[in-house]
Amino acid sequence: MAMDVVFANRLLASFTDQATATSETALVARARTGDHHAFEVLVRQYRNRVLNVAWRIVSEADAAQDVAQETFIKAYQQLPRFRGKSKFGTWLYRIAVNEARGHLRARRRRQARWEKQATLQAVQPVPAEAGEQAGPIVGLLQELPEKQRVALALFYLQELSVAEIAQAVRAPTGTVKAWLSRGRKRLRELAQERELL
Amino acid sequence: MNCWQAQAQLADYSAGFLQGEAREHLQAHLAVCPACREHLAQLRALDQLLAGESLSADEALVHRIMAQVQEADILRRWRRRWLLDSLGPIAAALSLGAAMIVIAQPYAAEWTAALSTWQLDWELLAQPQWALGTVVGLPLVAGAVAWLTNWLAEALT
Repeated sequence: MAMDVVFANRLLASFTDQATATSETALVARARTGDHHAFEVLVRQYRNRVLNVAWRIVSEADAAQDVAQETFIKAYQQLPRFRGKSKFGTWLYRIAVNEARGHLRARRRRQARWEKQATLQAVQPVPAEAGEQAGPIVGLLQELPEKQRVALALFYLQELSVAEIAQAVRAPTGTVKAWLSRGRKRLRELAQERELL
Repeated sequence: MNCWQAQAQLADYSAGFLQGEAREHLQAHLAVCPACREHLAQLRALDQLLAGESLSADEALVHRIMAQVQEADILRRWRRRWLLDSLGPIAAALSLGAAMIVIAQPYAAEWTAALSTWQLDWELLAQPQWALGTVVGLPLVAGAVAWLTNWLAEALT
């Protein structure tokens, strides 16, 4: 049976990773000493991936841009504390996931305030921001529990192993596998309900 | 293996998580079951749809990030400079306090008594040992410490 496209891409990405790891390590080392040029190279290398992880979690293009920006600023500030125990990418995605989750918490707080105000003033509540600018499938991700959505956002980067995703979200590997499995099953059901498949 | 068991494993299978016997059993079931093959095809189609839905970060994002990095760097340098600059006076004040404690120690009992009654012992202050310590010793110690920390600050920046 033909090998799954996603799996093949992930395998290919892991080989490419090994080749670029050395140059990336050198770039990270230079960026740690305050070399802006080296950090800019890292930003260019990871900008699309970080942006898409953020987008798949927050489901809103503008918010994803903000999350990506904050992720890189935090990464720059925390670089002196990066010990190289994990890959730079995994470490960066962990920051992105935390930033995106922080954004979701803030959004939920705003939403709760609006709803409270709307109840008090008996007016129509402001509609939720989630999913406003998302694509059809990314919009569906919003309907999954947050942990499954985060795991899927990292999974669809097609470059991280389950162990690395587990490292990025600080959860056991088995738990991440379960999130991915349940998430993809539910996503398929939702896509069928909306006739996207 | 029935369809219910097979479909429970399809997500893991298409992600490449299923290994060994379990993988072989599922592959055998897929070979004879069109419904499960259809289910798998849908999962793969979903993967491709989601992988295809992506955003591209423009140059403006990179520029905004790098501008903020510059700003953060300036702020960090300023904070470090401020910290190092304030080390001199802080060290001087600390050494002054420490020297005063050392010098005043022989008179601790008298000072405690004076302070407890709020009556300063002016005779005590006029004693040559105290006066010499205050006028010459303390500025010397403070000056030396301030100079040393300033030199350290220069060397570090």
